[in-house]
Amino acid sequence: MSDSLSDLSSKSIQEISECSNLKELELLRVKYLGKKGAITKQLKALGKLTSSERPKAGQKINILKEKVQSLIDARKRVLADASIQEKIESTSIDVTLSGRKNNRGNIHPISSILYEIESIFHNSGFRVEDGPEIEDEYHNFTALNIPENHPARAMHDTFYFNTNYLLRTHTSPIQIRSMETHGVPIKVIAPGKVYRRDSDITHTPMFHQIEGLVIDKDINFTHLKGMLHQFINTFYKRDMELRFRPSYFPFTEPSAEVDILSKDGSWLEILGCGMVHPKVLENLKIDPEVYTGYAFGMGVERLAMLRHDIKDIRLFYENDLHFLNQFK
Amino acid sequence: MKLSINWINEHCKSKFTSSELVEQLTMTGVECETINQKNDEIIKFDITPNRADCFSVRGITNELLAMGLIKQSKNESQSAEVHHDHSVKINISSPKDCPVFATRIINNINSNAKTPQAIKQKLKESGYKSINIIVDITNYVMITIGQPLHAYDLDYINAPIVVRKAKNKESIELLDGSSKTLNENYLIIADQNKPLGIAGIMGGIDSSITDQTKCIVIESAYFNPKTIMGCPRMLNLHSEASLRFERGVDPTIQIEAIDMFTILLNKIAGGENGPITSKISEKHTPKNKTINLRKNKIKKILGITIPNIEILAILKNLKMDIEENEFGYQGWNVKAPPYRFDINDECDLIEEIARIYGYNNIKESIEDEPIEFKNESSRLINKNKLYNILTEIGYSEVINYSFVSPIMNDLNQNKVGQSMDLQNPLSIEMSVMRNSLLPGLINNLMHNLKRQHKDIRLFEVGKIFTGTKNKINEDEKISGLIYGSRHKEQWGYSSELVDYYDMKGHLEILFESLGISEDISYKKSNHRMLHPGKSGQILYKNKIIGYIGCLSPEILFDLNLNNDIIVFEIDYSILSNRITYKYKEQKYFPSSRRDISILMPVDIEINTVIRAINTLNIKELSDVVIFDIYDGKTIKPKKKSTSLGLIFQTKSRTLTDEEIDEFMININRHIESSFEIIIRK
Repeated sequence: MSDSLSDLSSKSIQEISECSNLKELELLRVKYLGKKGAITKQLKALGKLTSSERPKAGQKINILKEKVQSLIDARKRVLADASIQEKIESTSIDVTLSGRKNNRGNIHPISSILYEIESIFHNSGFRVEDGPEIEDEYHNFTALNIPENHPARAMHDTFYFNTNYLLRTHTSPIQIRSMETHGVPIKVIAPGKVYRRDSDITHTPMFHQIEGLVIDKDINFTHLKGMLHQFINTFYKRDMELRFRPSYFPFTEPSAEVDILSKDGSWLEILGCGMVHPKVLENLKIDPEVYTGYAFGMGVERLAMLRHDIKDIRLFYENDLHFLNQFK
Repeated sequence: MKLSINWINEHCKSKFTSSELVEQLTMTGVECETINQKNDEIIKFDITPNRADCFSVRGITNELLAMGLIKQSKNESQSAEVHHDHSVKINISSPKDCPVFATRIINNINSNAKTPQAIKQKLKESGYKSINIIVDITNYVMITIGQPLHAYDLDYINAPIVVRKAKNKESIELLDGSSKTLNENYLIIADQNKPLGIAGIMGGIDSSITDQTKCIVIESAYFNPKTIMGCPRMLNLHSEASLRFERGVDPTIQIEAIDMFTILLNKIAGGENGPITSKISEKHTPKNKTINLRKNKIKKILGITIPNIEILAILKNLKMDIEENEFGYQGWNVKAPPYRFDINDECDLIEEIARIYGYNNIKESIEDEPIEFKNESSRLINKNKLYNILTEIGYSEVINYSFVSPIMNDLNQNKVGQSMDLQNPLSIEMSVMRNSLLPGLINNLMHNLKRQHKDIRLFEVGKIFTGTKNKINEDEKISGLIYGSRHKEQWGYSSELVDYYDMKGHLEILFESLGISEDISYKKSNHRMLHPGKSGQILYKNKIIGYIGCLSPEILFDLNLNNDIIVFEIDYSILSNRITYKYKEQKYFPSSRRDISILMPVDIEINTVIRAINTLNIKELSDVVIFDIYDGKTIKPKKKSTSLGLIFQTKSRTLTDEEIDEFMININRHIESSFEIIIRK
């Protein structure tokens, strides 16, 4: 009995240590420790012994059983490690290879700036308004205090359909339309396309403007200055130095152009503004003795050209993907 | 207008540097910049249309006076000697258009006299070519004090001179060699035989000054700006004179100008002067009215209080007549000098005060108003979504001009109504308003293919225009185009071209994100630009909102392209749909799937089969997926095999196999009886 046990011990130790894969190891486990395994049989055979022999023999077999079990476990760990290692080696990839992807598109830089400005104003209580691009003489000129044949009309080279209809030359008619619709007090912003008969490196026959209008009972020039300074600081994300220069627009008085101080120390014109002309209010049957207000307008292309360092305005409308893809 | 700094300094007896002057003038609203020409500094002025008075050395000097930079300017006017009593008779038929008209005859001018270098230099620096002594002096006087003059060769005039409206189709050959046909809109200067010039714009060639001219009539007039306005534009003829007359010259300086001209001419080229004869209609000569300027209105508009003493100093420096109202407690009665055509109302005076006081000396403040929170509009939210989705799928946004060539509009015949044609387009390629965004996208595609881009996806949001002269429709659309490979060239994907279903998938994602996919349906369409068998209308709640499809083979042929171009165009207004998602409780019970393959004629749309299945109203059928379509070689001709996965699920329990078998029997029986199809087991 003890001889066969020591045989079993040496044989199992040898077989386990020589075992080279997990499947064989499992077979060995069954062979020795399974329900019908050699060691299990020995344990079952204990019942045939006398009660005095039994404890000693049992202890021996159990020691062997534990030993075999721990050998199998140890061997299993070694073999598993090897197989994982082999799997890693056989399934490695070139991690530097480019990822699977498709092209992303881009938003046109003019759209992005329009959206940004619209959001800034919308968030500070301005309503966003729209108006027709084919306008009539009245809304584009007359109501804005630009009478027929006035030299100010020459500042706007206008595209005409007939004597009455034209392509709006600025977004200012939306001021008039908003006041017609909503009355006063009013606080609106109006982005849109405008058209002038002009084409060179700094002019395209179509471009974009954003117009703003605020009318209430106690609005004055200091408010115009304060609001625009806040807007410009927000748009440029830093404190900007500005200057207000007297200028001329038929629909505002006093009128001003606003320059920002650029990083190289020069002044750059970025928008026009002023107090709404009393004649414009009178045209809309609003009493200028009671209501006052300010208006401002800016060219979106100009802001985009300054921001992105673009020298030729025509690039915006060539729609070349080499250009568009640069504004991620 | 260009002026040398020397001329200005000479006129106001000062020693400004050009940069000093540019800075000061710019900040009071006279836009200008220095341009360096060799040794001399020239200032280029960009005068706004309201400031007619600034078009001269005197005008600029007046601005310096107003700013208090100088105390007084050279303003002495002298009268020239009179040597004889010859004059030319003048008839003004329309004094309203020509309130002041003064002339003088000067005989025996030395036509060999040369323009002195000092004058030549100034004219040159202002951009004028020296022509001859007479013309040079008229220009010199005009630049100095702002009054345009015109000299006629007396030998070519058949007096009397008449100022009248032109007759219809009356024509004139002008100094610049051009010839213009006129009508009753134009005021002309004429003699008994012919027009001598278009009033305030340009003189005629016949009576013009030549190197032989010895006797002249010099004309100095004030024309009503309203009469001249618009004429230069209609004639496309802008001159230095029209620039000034159109905006208004000082109606009180005509005599002074003739004298100034005469004295200079006499000094250089002699000549014998006749008397000045002038026709002045007091009634029609503009006079500035007295304006009531209220102190509290200044405060209301500017938001600051400016001390009376400063207001008065500013008004005095602007040469305004001032009369106090109750010692300035209420304000003042103010009258502007005659050359300030732009000052008619109180607000004009307030602007003057503000610009001389300095806009930058006015503080900034913020309106006190209750805090108002604004929610982002659903349009802005949806726009953001739309732009994000499209750019993620690879579409780049383009912006095209709203005007196109008529040929491009003709591509799209589906729109009823006449196109909107521009009267004065820049070119035929930009002469009509677009009736679709698609031609623009096709142009962009062709441009980018030429620039060697391969896989192209573009979209545009913009208006299209249809209608007649009386009723114009502007509709905002969103349009897209795809062309090339489905995936950009890379390892791991074989190269496959995009097709109709790629774009349809993109739209499905879009509609789903806008929360409207359940209300969207598609129908076959016959859009002229699209392939009749590969295009469809898109309907939202059974209303057509646009179309999707492959461009027609004819267009591809014309573009010389072989691969499909797939496009869509839909109403942008679908973006205004407001979505609120409500949570739907969903307990999980496992679903079961049964797959069937159907052999069917190619012309049956799969959707009609699915719709037929849906009419059975099996609530437990939660989804149907099409997982394969095959029409290859092993199938009978004109047949296709479609594989459907039917997914059954309930919210309350797990379905038994027997139940599902029963559903399948129903479904199979129903579609086999409704269509000419075979279910392949």
